[in-house]
Amino acid sequence: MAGPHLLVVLRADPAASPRAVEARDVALAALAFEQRASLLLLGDGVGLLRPGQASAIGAEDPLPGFRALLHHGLERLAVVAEDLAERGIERADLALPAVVLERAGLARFLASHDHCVGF
Amino acid sequence: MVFSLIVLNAPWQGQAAQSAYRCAQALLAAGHALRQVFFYGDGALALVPGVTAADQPDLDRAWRELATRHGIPILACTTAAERRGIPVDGSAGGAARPGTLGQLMLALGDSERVLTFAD
Repeated sequence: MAGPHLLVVLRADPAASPRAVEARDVALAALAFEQRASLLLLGDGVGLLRPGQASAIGAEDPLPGFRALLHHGLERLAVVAEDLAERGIERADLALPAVVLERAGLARFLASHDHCVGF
Repeated sequence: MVFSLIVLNAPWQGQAAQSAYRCAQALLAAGHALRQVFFYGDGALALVPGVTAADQPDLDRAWRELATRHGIPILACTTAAERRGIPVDGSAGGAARPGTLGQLMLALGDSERVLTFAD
């Protein structure tokens, strides 16, 4: 992996717009170009990791696409503990393996990347 | 410093597109370089000129003039456009030319700062 370390930040509810899919595609493109890439779920974006979310509303399940990112070399999938708690999502139930950050450590996490692209 | 801009909203979806244009102007006026402006998500509607109300800024014309005057690539993602039923053969006549996430990745690799504009 070469080039800048890209952090893709998803703040949008995955069920409410195509932004989750488009964020995934940006991360996938970075990995395809052999760039370093990580993904941070913020705010309503943590809904991506709620188990059974897509099937409950009859929507296409975005999880397989995000799981594929992990297999293609995504360095980190991170979420914020407070965002999970505010939405009633238990750490133990996350649908994908993720690093759980405290909100207080977010600035340092962001600063460890070269570019951030927010969705 | 070398910048790239990403715009995720259509001109009528809030302030993002207008802010991106003003930012581009300010960066160039301050002597910075603009490597690329990339329209993604709903921003891909920059491929079509649309209709601008008399009391609204004509961003399509503004981007076109900026691209011509400064030689800046202004691209819109073809995949995002196809999702929204927008022609991607360049015939739609908007300020942006059809582009790919690969071109975005190349621009990110060349840029020192990346700014995302989204509401």
